[in-house]
Amino acid sequence: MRNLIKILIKIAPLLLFVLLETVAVVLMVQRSRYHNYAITSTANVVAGGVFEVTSAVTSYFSLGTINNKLALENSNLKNEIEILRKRLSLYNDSIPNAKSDSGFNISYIPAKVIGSSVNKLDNYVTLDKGTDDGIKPDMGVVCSEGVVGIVVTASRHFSVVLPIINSESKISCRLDSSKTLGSLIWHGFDPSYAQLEEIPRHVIVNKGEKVYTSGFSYIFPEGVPVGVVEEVELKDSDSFYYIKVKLNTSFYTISYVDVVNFSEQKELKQLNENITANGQSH
Amino acid sequence: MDRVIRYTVMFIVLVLLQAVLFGNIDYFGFICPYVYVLFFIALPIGFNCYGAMGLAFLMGLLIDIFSCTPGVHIASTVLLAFVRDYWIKVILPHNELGSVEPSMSNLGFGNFIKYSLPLVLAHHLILFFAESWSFTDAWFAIVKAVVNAVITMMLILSYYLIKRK
Repeated sequence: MRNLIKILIKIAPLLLFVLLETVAVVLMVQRSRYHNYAITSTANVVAGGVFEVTSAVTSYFSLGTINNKLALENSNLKNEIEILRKRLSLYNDSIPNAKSDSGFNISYIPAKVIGSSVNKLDNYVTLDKGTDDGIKPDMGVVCSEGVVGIVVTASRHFSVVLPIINSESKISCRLDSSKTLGSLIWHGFDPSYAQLEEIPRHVIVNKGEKVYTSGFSYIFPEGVPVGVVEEVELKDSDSFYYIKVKLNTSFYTISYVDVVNFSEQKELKQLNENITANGQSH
Repeated sequence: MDRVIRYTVMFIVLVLLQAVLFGNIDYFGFICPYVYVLFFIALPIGFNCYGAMGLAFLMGLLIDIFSCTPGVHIASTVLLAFVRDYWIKVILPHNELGSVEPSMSNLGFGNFIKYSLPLVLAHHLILFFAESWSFTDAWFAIVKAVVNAVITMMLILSYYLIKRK
């Protein structure tokens, strides 16, 4: 008995070590995409608060570039309004009673990035808006340059986005020329490039052609720019292309974003769920 | 008592430094030194092993919360605190120094490097492997760990150089 106690005292540090490491491993294993963000996510108040204070200071340093970007976006939007106005007047002339409110209802919620990383394999972006401002998980996030990612979790005042540059991100995209659908995936290393997968070999892919969102995922509107094809490779044995895409969004300098509020998302999701539920019952 | 306050301040400052400054160094998407290990390098020799592991767990948890990496920093920092105790016994088998605080002037430059570099390296290796959990590219993790361990070491050494002046 005395020997047993002696042994126990001797290996007590080891036991504590094993216990603490087990806790760590359990935390790591439980990290799956939509669960368990609650304990260790930047959406929690302490970390969110600290990030907000630092971003309040550091955001002053990048005001110049942000101004330029906003001015550019402003002018682009103005141009677009003009084009649309012309088109509308054309329609009104030819079809006097045309309905103008067909299609989806999409609105944007502006938000500021208060925390982000690019140097990890699983990067995240933290925003300064949360459920109080209408942000919910599964909403798409875009910036003036292109697609950013998808909201995974939101607290009252903060939300966390899974950006393209996270190994778990998968975004449905479409090639400009052939309109073929593929999935945009990131494999680590360089935050400026991602890979477009599942493009079959019979399709013609050109270097330098643009990649857009497909709009099928009811997360992003159709046609949001994602990037430009930088490298195309097709081995004889492969049935799919290897396509390297240069991302439009610069994750190094990302600061202001828009969260996409797809008002029909719930309805579409419900419909899809009904289909799968019916399929299982047959 | 003075010592307790000093270490508490150091703990808080290092967590904030890591979360706000060093966690945001994005150079080539590759360089991210983890300077908070300095706290465990600087703990007095002969510091209670349970206490060190408890502090390591707390530190790891806080850094994990800031960087959205559940468990990763806990695993590597607890390992660092556990190994540290044994490593000191290997390096200083006849400890004549008592509970001195390890630094370049107290241990000598050679001994200090021998003490701290393997600990930092072990911490970074476990860290980058734990981070890449499902990733197959082991070489990338190793290179990243070694490069960042060297950068962390340089930051730690410069801290002691500045402190001595």
